[in-house]
Amino acid sequence: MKVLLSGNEAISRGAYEANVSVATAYPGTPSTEILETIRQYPEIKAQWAPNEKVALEVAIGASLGGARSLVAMKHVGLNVAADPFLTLSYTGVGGGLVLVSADDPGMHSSQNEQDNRHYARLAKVPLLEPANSQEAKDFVGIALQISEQFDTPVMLRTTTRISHSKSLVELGERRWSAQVPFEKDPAKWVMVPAHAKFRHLFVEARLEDLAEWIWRSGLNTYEFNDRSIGIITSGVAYQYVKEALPEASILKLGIAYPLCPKQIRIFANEVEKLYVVEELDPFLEEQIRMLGIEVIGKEIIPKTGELSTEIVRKAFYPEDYELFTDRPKPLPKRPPVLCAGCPHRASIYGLKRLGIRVTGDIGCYTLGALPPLSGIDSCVCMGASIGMAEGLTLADPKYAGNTVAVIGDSTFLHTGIQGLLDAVYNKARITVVILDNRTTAMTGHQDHPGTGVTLSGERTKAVNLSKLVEALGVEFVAVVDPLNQEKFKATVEEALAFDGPAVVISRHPCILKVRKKQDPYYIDPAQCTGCHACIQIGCPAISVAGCHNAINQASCIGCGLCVQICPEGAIKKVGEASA
Amino acid sequence: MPKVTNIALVGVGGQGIILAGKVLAQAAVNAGFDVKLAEIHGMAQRGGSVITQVRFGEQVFAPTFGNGTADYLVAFERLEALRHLPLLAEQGVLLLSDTLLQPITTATGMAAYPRNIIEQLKEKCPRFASFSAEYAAEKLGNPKVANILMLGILSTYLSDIPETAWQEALDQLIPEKYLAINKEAFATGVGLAAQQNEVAG
Repeated sequence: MKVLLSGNEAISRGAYEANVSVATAYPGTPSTEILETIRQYPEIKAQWAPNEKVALEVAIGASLGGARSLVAMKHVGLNVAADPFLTLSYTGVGGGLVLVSADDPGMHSSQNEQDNRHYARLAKVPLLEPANSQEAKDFVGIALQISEQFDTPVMLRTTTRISHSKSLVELGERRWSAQVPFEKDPAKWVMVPAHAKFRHLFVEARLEDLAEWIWRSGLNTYEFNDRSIGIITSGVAYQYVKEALPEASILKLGIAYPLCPKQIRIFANEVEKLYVVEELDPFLEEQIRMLGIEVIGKEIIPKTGELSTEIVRKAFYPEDYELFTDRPKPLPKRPPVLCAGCPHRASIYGLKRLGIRVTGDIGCYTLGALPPLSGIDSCVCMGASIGMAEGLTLADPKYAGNTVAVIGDSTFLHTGIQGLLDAVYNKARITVVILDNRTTAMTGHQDHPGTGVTLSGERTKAVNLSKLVEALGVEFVAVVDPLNQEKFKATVEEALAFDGPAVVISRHPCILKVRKKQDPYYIDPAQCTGCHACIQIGCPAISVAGCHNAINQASCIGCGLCVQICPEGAIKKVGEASA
Repeated sequence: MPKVTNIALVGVGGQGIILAGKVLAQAAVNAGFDVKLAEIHGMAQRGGSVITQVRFGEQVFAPTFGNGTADYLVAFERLEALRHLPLLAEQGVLLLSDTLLQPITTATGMAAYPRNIIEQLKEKCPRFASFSAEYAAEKLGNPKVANILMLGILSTYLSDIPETAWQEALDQLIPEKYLAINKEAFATGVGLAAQQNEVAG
């Protein structure tokens, strides 16, 4: 039976069919749905980890114990997991281990568009790149076979257009495979220098064996057509090539690292002009050039953003595209916004009123950096807000007692704890505001160690944030609801005045999670002076209407933040008498 | 290359565009086509401009398509219709659920919401039909089913996908609790399209 599956859904199905028994991840777009859909298979023990490093370490342990395991993360997640990943390449595996890296060319929901294929080369592990959902499913099984046959972790790299595109998939059954029991083998599993030296030799030999094996693997396919143009490509770029240049000859790489030099040479000799069409970096191109083969790539294919059929066609036939040169005049942008009633708005606005520096982190609240809120001064990576706030105070003492780091609950548990530990250790005069909305909101409301619920929906111990930060040595800890602006402001001011690192837990559940709508508010035009103070909070329910402002009754959820901001008392609850 | 039908569903995060895209893609699967659907999750969903692309035909390669190649553009908001209009092929059809949602940039007065969108759409697109889909959906009891109502309208243009394929797709994808109202919305859309065609004819 053929069913329509996203790449992510197909990967979970592939894990099920290939007898995976342990799956771990930290949520991150575009990878999140892999674990969310894998939990439908009770045969697989699937769990969220607090971060990608821990997720991978759990998977390595499962592999050591002989289980087939899968770990999934977004591209930047692999930066966090890089430490275990690079040495895992040396130890190799027990049960097969596949690491899914979901890259985000075009940055639909990411802070950078790094090309994670480099990690495969850095770690010297094989890299599979599916070009549709069918391959996404099948490649999980193939990756596990390779993993066990060559004693290596295998990287399965998708991109947003593979992860979040749906196409037809032929389903199979779960295939049983024997679990190799744990065997004490320090030369393989204990990576001290004396052992690692030998494992490094093994890793280099493994790459050569793999390059030889690829030749017969059937993972890379030739499609000979018109031989004046020959294209080497992989992943979703293959689909754009098929559409943009249906007449071209193609070498489609299912395994994009290591390359099989023999195979590349044969293809290069069969075509008049050789091209590489790949998204982001010249990863294949540079390796092909190192083989001494002439090739055209990034001279015509962009290094930034996503590719498309149009971009590929344009690269080869620029003369066809004169038609599309007239640029229409720019329309008002529609950036994403914090939801009406979002507690983050209250926190960010409350901090903005204090006129202080605010280092930001990764989550919905990053949207608070956009106008009109413009209340966040930085965003680098998960957990960076705390170390960066501390760094600011080192750069200039005037920022001490005057700088706040904002970080979500899930992000704090991901990699914020160490930053705070550093602030305590080095006596930094910063305030950390933990925006505790009791969920991982941006990626679609996943549970985490602070929510008391596991991926499979079981109750578990919820970490107590106040006690946790106290245990780290923080001596000022307060919990406040940001929707009470007066109290929020007073609490943060007290924290800033404290001589040492302080933590304010700004607690209010995500509005999408609670979905409790109270009576909406309206603006009494008789009292509104058109000062637009309420507009400055950037609530999607409030808009400029003539010289006054108006609240959209359908979108207002009655959070009451704007009421506390209106200097005229012109905002009133529907149903209450107007003055 | 065999003909592939390209359809873009555009609007604002929260309007049910992802679900509409799934139903459309499933209906095309049920009708026996090869199908690809491209959607975007994560940050793009928070009230931002969203687009889902559905392609069906004998064999489909790329999950997305470019400017000047959409056979149908189904827009759930005026400004988003105008923004994505360059996608439409010369003889492409634009179906608009006529609502106006201020983006944060115009709501806060940082930019002006264009005044004459409908005139511009009419001028640039000879095959343009506009519907008060949210109003019609609200009359059925839930303005949120405007997404499925628009699919009902679209279905009258897609003669390759039989009615049964659509009904089956709704059965497969809509939770039991909401199935009746969504089927009603779909039927209402079919009816609205028929009326529109009579007016146009």
